[in-house]
Amino acid sequence: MIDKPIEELLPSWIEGTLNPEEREKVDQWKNASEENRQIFAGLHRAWEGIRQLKRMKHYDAEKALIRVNSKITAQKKNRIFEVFQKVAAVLILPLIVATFLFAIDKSKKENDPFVAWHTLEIPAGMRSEFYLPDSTKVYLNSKSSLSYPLVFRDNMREVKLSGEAYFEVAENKEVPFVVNNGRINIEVTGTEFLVTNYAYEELTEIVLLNGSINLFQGNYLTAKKDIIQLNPGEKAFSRENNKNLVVEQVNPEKYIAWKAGMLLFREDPMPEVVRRLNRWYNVDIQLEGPELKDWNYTATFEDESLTQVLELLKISAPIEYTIKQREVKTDKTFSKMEIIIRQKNR
Amino acid sequence: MEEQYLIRGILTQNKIVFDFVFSYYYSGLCAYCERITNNQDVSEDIVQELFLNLWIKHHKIKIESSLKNYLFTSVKNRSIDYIKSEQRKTKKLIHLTEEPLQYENLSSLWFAETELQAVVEKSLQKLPPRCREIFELSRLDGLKNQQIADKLSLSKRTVELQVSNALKQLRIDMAAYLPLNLLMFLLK
Repeated sequence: MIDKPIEELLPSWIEGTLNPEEREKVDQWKNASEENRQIFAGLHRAWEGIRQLKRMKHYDAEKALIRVNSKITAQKKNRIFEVFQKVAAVLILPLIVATFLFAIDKSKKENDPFVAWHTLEIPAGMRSEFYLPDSTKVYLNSKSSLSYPLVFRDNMREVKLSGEAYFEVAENKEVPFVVNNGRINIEVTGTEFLVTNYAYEELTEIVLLNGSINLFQGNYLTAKKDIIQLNPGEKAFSRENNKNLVVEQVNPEKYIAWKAGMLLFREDPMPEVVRRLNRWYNVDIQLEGPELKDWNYTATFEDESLTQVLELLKISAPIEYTIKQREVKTDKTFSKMEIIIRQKNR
Repeated sequence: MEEQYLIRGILTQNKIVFDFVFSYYYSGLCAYCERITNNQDVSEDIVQELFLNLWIKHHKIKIESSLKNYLFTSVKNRSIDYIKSEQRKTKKLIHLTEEPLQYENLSSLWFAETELQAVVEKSLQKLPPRCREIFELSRLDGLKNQQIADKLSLSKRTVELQVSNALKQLRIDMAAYLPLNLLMFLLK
């Protein structure tokens, strides 16, 4: 009598969808005898086997074989050049040294050129796109500023960023493009990436879409200290109060949606959602109650007003919100809109 | 004997044998690699790199056990190397608490796709047609029990019952197949 319901519970046990009571029941049954344990292990294996089979179906051996074969052919050709390459390396070496010395000499002369810097500031709630003198395209997000020289130097293209910007860097391998964020800086030769560096958020975020970039600390020309190289689809981020830099794989799409005027959330935790809403609508939203921090949210907004967004949030999450009365400050301007989001009482 | 033929073929750069072994094991090796690395693209790179290496350095390679054993062990080692290098890459900057890697008994997943397909297929054929249909919707197409119930106008409970019946059959059939495999490779 007991045997049958247990067999029915087992699939859900593996999937982890049982309630604690049922789980307890299965565990008891499992530990009751060696035979039960065997049955359980066998079931687990069968289930794993099915999942494994599903995984295998993702892979296309035919296509892969074509790739491997083309690499095999390429390899054969390479071997012929191998000997030649060794000779070439010796020949080229003196040339590199000469160029290098020349470069140092040149940079000394240009050490303190008189170059005017220009700063572009984007007010809250606005976004802008423009080209730098080297035809690099920049999208600047709300409340951001970018400083750049009206004429770039010969040995590097340096800009300074505060806030969030998306760069499509014009390719020029000889003159690296350098983004100075203060704490963590970026070196590029030709690539697309996003930087978020709002001082008040105490967070620096760098997302790479294409190409490759180097992160470094210090002054690019005099005291460069390399940190790491990013690959496409990777995000590096670091908080002000923390010395660590974390690199992770991300879906870059949601980080750059703002440049197309969209607000994208993909399984983002509530504090992140609030942070981005604050920036987007220039408001101050506070979260009340620790449970809310674990809530993940997925949505895409394009033209919605703040209240529409909040109403949508209310439908899909167990929350309620109140908008505080805006106060008139002494200079007759209104204070920022304040909103409190809290967990709904059940 | 057939095994020896394949190994010799690989080691002497027989392109037909190479292509056959590649096609036979590719998806199984990738899926196994994915279990460890959790990344499909990386898995494809690792497996392709392994075969490329097998072709180029054929004269330096020794296959002492079975070909299957050699391939899966190599993929496992390469996957672990990959994970370690990923960790090292981030370790300089990230001081997260170190979690030991868990590979459970992953050698129970040493299957080529056709082998696993055959075991599952054979087992599912023993089931009543309805039970089989439900199981395939559930496990292979990934539908939720409720979705299957709606689709076939059955109660959710019937679906659950049929899924567990099918799994029971599969468990018995795979048990006959798996432990032997497992033992063979664990003893080597």
